[in-house]
Amino acid sequence: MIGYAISATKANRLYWLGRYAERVYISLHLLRRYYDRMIDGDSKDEEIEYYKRIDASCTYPDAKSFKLGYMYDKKNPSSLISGIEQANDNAIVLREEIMSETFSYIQLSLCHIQKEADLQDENINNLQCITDYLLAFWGSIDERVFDERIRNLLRMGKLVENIDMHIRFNYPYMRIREAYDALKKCSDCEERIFDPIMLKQLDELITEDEYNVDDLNYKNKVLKYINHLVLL
Amino acid sequence: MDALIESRDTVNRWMERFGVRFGVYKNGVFNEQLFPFDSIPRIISADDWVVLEKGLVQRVNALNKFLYDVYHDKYIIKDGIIPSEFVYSSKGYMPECEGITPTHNVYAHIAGIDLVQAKDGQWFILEDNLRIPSGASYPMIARMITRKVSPQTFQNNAVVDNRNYNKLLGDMMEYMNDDRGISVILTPGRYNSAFFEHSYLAEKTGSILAFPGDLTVENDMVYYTDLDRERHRVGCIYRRVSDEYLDPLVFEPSSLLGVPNLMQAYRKGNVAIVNALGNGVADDKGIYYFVPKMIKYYLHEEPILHNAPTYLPYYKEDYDYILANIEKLVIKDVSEAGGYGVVFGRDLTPKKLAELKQLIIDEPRHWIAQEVIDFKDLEILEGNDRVERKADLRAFVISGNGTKVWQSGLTRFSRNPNSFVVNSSQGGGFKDTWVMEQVQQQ
Amino acid sequence: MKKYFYNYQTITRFDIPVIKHFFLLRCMPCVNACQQGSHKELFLHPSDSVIYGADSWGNPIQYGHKLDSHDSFTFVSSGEARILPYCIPNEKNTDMFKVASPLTEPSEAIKEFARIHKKGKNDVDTALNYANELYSYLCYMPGSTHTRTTAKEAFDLKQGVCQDYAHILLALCREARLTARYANGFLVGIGMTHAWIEVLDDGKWYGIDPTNNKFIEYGYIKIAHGRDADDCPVNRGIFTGAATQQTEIRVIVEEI
Repeated sequence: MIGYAISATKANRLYWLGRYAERVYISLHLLRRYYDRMIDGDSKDEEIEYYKRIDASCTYPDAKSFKLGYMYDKKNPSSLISGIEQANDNAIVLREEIMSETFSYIQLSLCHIQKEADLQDENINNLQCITDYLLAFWGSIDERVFDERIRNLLRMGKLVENIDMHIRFNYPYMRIREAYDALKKCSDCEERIFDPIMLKQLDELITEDEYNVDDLNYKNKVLKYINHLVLL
Repeated sequence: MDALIESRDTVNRWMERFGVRFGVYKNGVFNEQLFPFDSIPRIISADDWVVLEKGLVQRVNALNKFLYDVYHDKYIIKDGIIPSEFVYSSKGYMPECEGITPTHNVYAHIAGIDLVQAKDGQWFILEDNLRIPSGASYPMIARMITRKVSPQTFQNNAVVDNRNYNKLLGDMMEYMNDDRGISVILTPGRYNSAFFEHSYLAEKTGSILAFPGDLTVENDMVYYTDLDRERHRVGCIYRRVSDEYLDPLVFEPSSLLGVPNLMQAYRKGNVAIVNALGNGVADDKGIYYFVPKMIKYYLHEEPILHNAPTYLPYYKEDYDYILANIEKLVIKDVSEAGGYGVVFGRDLTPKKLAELKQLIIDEPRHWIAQEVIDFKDLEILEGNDRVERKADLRAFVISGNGTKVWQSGLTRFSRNPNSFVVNSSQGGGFKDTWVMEQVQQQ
Repeated sequence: MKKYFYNYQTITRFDIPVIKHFFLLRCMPCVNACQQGSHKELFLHPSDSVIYGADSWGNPIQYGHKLDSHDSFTFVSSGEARILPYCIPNEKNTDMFKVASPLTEPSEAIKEFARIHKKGKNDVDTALNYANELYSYLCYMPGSTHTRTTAKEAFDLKQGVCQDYAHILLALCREARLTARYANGFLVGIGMTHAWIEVLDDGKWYGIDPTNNKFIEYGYIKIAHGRDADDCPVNRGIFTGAATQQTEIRVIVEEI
């Protein structure tokens, strides 16, 4: 019976669950890298660069509050805790699609980060297990979710987010290309939920010759199109 | 067993992991709380269970017959067993259900019957919940976890496996569906206090969890629309939305939780609604008094399980008794629910007692009174100490192709030592309920 | 026997288009021993489908939906009704019309009113007495109440429209242990729907119009009855869209 009928609302939830889970996973990775750089360099420069990359709506006065803020500030939409809460908000209504066991990795992440948030320790090492949980989450989807469509919708969210984040942080062409190819495979079976015009535009933009993330115009264009690609 | 009891915190961590929570609104803010699990189980012997099971089946069968009768021929009223005004002025009576015959004539598909045990071991029925009784998912998942955490406990104790609730529920839904289409569980949404249960039961029964707006009625058929705009006929809706919100064109017009014209599809017999609409007339506190009479009337049997001794001020004899003995009775406002409209006469000042008497004199139909039962308290862990607390048992009875009692139940206890109220919305926690295997005689 | 032509029009306009519009109407005459219809027609626009059914009281209902975008919704019910003097043989169990319903719960003042005013020689007579007293107590005042106003509230206001007159009279009758129910429909000569009550006496339902302090014989075309107004709304609908709606209702009833 499962997978036999997914409503548009649930499809939207699956997509966003994929996006938020991936956003938290990549943000953890990036924050670790920035916090590491702040050990040696001028931490203010690193903060400012991070803000710029993600078009931050939330800024902090010093390194400590920056670190704590991007981990535990619920009012900061780009913080890890906000991302996990958002992932949980989507996952909670998808229990029967993804199964309790899969859902539990999101719950575990949420419980863990809530407990850590109370401690207000700026060491990001305390959040290693969230990376582990998120990897287990994707593993659990591969192991336990047999419905191709559900997996596809989650994967689409994951790949869109992956491309979005990697472009923001100027990842090299090949990284984007791989994710984009995978996303296009999804579009083969879910034709109707991909905007064909966006797809065509992106096909032209994401080529080895065109790829130029140092050009702000180019970058913003790709970001805009990728976020308008999926019609959910 | 000790191993299990010591594992309380481990079990609660597992519950947290699976998101076993219930939502509470406090000062307008929604919060999801854990439903604290106490690891000392309630144990019901095989012999006790035989009696309980028989009594529960009997009671629910009579209630189902009563519901059919009330919305059709009304023989029980015509024969003077229940005064008509008790039925028609009950808040739960829904004239919109007159003449509607639900699929297979079943009304109370899932009955949650609340019982208490007295010190002498006798069980009493506290109330029947025939609308949308909740709570089965908690002992269901608790058993899954406790077996994992403390396998030796279950090796050493012959406890009947209760992990079949989803099977009982799923089979019943399939029977009610009658091959008409898909079965769905309709939830009001994730901010409902029992949302965990809705989603967990959907997962475990393999049903689709439908949200308001997912279902539409066209030409007296109910459909679930999927992502490709394809419509799937719905044959059975296990709804967790209250009657009054189910169809905004017939009931509460402002409801956004309902499905417009669902009532017409239901009237035509094109969809089973679990539980049926209008069941409130049978679990009304005023009707409770008459359930033993229903058993005699419809089944020609003596009731196996007893009500707590109850007085109805509507009857002169009871009226006099209540006014003379009010300080030793429990007084219940029949129209209230959720553990609020319940007062113990002994807790009231003489002034308050006089006020209450006047209320009863003014509106005798609105009140019932019961003898205070000397509860058998159950042990719970408070920190690391064992203390005794009030507890009740909600037994789940499933009516589909036959009437079956789930061999377990939800045991709720009050946290507060002085409280009789075990409602989970007022603090408190739950226990697993063990029904023991019948020992084979040599 | 008298014959009437009736035409009932409702036009609802939405300031911005709406979608997923579901409706349930009670706008066609009942059929009973004293009321028969012919040439009955229902015109609906726009609508994907309409189904003719009956509610629990046996009142005709018409329901359906329009899923696509639209900015107005019109329905017209018309035909001929043949009417005998108002006296409908009882068919079903009627105990539910003995007890107070949500909109007719009596207040102390209503109970007092019921006690003071003398009962008549039979149930119809009692109801007529109450109607007569009520007629001088209450002031007809359009706009003073709304569709969910209870008998209690209107009684305290001493004002109301036909629905409130009917609710208070029902509260009084039921307080006096009469079996009485709410009825609504079309009335000769006035350009809107009207409400009155029916009282059961010796197995037959008689009509009393408290707004006009009148025992009903002819001229009333019934479309529904129930415990109170909530049981028999003429028009209920729900749609998706943030529109505000304006509804215009026109009724013509003529003897032919």
